[in-house]
Amino acid sequence: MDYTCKTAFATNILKNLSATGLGKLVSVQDIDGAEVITIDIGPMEIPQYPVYLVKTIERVNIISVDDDLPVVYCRDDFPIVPHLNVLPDGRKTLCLFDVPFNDIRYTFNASMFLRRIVYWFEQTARAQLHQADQPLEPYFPGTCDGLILSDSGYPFVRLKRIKTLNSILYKEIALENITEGRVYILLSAVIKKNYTKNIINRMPQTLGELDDAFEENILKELETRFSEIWAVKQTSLYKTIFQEKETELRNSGVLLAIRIGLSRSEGEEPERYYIKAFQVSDTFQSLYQAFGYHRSKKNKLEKVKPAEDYKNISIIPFEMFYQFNSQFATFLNEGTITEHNDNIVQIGLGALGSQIANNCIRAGYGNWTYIDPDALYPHNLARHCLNQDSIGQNKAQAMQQYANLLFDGKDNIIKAVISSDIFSKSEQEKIRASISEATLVVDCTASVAAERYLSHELAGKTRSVSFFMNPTGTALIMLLESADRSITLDVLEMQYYRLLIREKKLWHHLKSDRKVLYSSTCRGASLVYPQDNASIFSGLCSSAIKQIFSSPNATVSMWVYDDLSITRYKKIGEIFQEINCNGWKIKISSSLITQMYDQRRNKLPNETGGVLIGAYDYEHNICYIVDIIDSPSDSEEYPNAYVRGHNGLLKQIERLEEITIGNLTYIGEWHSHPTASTQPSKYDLILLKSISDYTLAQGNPGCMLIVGDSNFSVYLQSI
Amino acid sequence: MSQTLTFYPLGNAETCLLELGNGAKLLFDYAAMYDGSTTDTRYDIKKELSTIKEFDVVMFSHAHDDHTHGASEFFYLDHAKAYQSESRAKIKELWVSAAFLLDTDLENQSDAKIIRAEARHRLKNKYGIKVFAEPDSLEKWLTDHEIDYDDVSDLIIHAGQVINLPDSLNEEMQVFVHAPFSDDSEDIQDKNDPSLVLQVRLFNNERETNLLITGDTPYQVLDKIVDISQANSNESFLAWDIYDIPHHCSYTGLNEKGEKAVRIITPTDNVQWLLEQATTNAHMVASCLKITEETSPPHMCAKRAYEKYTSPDVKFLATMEHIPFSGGKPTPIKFVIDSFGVTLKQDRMQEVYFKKSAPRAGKQ
Repeated sequence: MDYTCKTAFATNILKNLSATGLGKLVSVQDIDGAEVITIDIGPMEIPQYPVYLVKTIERVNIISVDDDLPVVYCRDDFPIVPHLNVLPDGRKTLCLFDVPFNDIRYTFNASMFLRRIVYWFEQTARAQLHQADQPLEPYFPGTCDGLILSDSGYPFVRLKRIKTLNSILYKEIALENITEGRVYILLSAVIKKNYTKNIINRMPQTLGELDDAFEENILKELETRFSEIWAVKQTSLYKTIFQEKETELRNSGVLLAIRIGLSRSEGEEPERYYIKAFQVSDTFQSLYQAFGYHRSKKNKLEKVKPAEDYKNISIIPFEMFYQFNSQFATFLNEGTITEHNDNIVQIGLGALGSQIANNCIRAGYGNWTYIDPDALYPHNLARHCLNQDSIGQNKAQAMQQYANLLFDGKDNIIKAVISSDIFSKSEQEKIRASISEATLVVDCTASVAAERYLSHELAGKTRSVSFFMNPTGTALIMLLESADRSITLDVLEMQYYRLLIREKKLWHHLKSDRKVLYSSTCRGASLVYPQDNASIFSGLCSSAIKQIFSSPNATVSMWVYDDLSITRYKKIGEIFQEINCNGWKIKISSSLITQMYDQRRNKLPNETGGVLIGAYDYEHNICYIVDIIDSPSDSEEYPNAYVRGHNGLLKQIERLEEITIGNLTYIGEWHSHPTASTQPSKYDLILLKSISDYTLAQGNPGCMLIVGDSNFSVYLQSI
Repeated sequence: MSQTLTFYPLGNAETCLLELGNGAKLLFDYAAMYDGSTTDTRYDIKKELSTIKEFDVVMFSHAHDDHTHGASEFFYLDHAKAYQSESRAKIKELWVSAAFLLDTDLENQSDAKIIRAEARHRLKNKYGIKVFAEPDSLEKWLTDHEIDYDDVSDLIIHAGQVINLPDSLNEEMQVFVHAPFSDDSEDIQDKNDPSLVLQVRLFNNERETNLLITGDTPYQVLDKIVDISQANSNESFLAWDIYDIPHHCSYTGLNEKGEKAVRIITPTDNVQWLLEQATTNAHMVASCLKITEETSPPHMCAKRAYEKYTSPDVKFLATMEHIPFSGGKPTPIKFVIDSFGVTLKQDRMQEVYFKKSAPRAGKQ
């Protein structure tokens, strides 16, 4: 039989049918202007014992729809199965794809469509259409319109109507906001039975049909709530919401939210709770009247006659959406409630800081105090999370407002803001208090001074982490203290420099030819680098923050971004031994001490030695001994004397100063004694003098270290 | 776990391949009928099965050419060097009837005769064979060849028992032997009479699926099988999900034809009972030509009987009638057997297309 089809799609379907043998054409009809193609699909691979009674040949009606997926109707007595839509009129359509039509448009043609129909039937026959990792089906079909609610406890909500392109959303706003929206009575019903069939039920059109959709009598429960609602008249809410006008109460709309537990199989705890809302009645009055209630002269709601018409009250379905709050954010980010409550202080909300903050806010992660003295300037916007509206505002405050706007003002994930720098005397108490209450301080100041001040003066017992980028913005550095703070930020900073010297690939890490806009440090602030990098690194930072509590270890980590890939360098932080000497605190790397003991032992019975590399902190009177340069090749080593040679020494020192942009330098000499004594000999004292003569020119004390059999001594000569 | 069972379109000839979930392969008969011409619509099984290096079991139901044709060119046979090239498929275990083994009425150089030689070689050397039924003449043959009966008694299988299968087969299947009977294996008039009749039971979780393999067994033997099974309460071994219709859908599998031509042949009471042992949505497969009023066999009156005496949900299929696309050649009838029972696979265009060469292209 030859058919002429109106649409190209229908023509292709017919062509494809004869080519593939996937089915036989029955008819093409024009019904109410729509082209209906009736096909016997099959013979299909239907097993001998199908779980659902699918026939080897199934008759379907295909109706093409303008610019959308053609609708496939199956026979009316087809069993109710997953991925089947039951229309209000009882007809059934196949749910063929789990993605919107636009997503498959590029693969869509008649052949693919027909094969998909065959697949649908064949998999349905085996009850295998719904994959184990697919989410469970909703209990009722989806609807365009939605309710956006927060978790308010009482049955009254004020909803504002928002029109989207193709739906209506009702969003909850403050009850007190009497100039906007309309008051609704929101009643909820929890269905006790768990449903395991994983099928989409027919959408109820009336209150009676809704009641019939469940074994439980939800309407009875609905009725019991009338008096409770009426009782609002005795509370202060009556004035707040209804201005004590009974007509306002009676004219409230009524919504019913049904919660249904859905499980994958019998006996299992619900995998999810499905909530659907229905607008039950336009006014509360019309609802209670349908149930036979009447407002008595005594101002009470009384049942005066049996319920009659209520079953025919038509209902309108709505999807339920929860207001985005920080708990919801935590859930959507796969976070935990514990993380959600972590108490954290963040210092610095610049480019990197604001983006770390943004990541954490959107994840509903933590409970924050922000500290930053700076205002937002136009040039910040290249990489800052805030926008034009916040220019001139304090960055910390503006970020708090940003978080509040995100969570609709009801969450205080940012519990406090201190708009000053951490050195501020007037705010010192406040800053110390917030840090002492916190479990972590996140330092994003990109300032060595701030990091050191935090480490020495503010942190107390609170663990800290510093994040900063190198001047070219190509690497991110994380200095993480140990949980017990036996390893602090300042010594981690030293280990970071040492890492740069020791890893040849990192020798250019701090080099920058770029123009520096403001002041210069080894850390990248206000320099020119891509937002891409700030974004990539801020993601690493916020991920790292969330993992911090899982390990007590201190670490120095570096992520280098190059050619669309990231290389990570990671060193476990080590303890620096502390020695007080001449009013200075000497902090010396434990591994370095071991290294010197080893070199001494290897050269016994002779003495040996080399050059000490380190740094001074004049503010805190600290001398850091971080590394050594091994005994140069022209050194003289005897059982009772050591003369440090100079082959290649200058080159080495210049190089390490260049690599660390002067943060590490020559600080003195070390040598070994073959005996246990670490007391300086007269020659040693002459050496120390010559060291100080040199270092004094740099404004440093001279440092000499003597390694004995099982101990060592450090001598520091100040001006 | 699942198995596949494939019936190949070979005209009036039979080959059926059972592949287990663990990869084991059992072949019931081998008849490579394709003549190599472009007009021959029979399937080239020699090529199709060439990828299989070894069969766990090769059964020859009886010694006729339409069940053995080309076997001597396909299988690796231990008894003579001539049949031992690399490309040939090995046989772990050969199943034949005693009647086949003892058959003296075989043409020289026929495939059946070469298979007989292989069977005798294996029995003499006491390995890799099962011989079905034990007529007196078998004992005589053993004595003549100085073989101690006790040494080979394990290799001789009697009707009415479940075969001891190796572990590789045992986990997924069981085989019950219905025929041949020892007393039918003497003084053979027709080689069809002592055909092997087996019920193969496949296990998939809780699901059992039964295949009834019948060779060219005539109704008289089927009658006897039904009588004996009923007498011994072995009815369950006659249940079937797939019935391998005997003798290319000849009336001989149902009843005598009688003198007068009939539209539908009436099966004997026992055969009717046997057909009623079909389970829900069962399948019958006839390895035969396209059935018309003229073909003999297959007989249209037999086809009608198979359809009439089984319930409407039981499906009749004939190998040469299994043509997926109009104008195409017949394709194998393939069943997948799993915990959902039997599924008849439908040929998908892509599979068919990529299993054949593209048409010739070029200037000349």
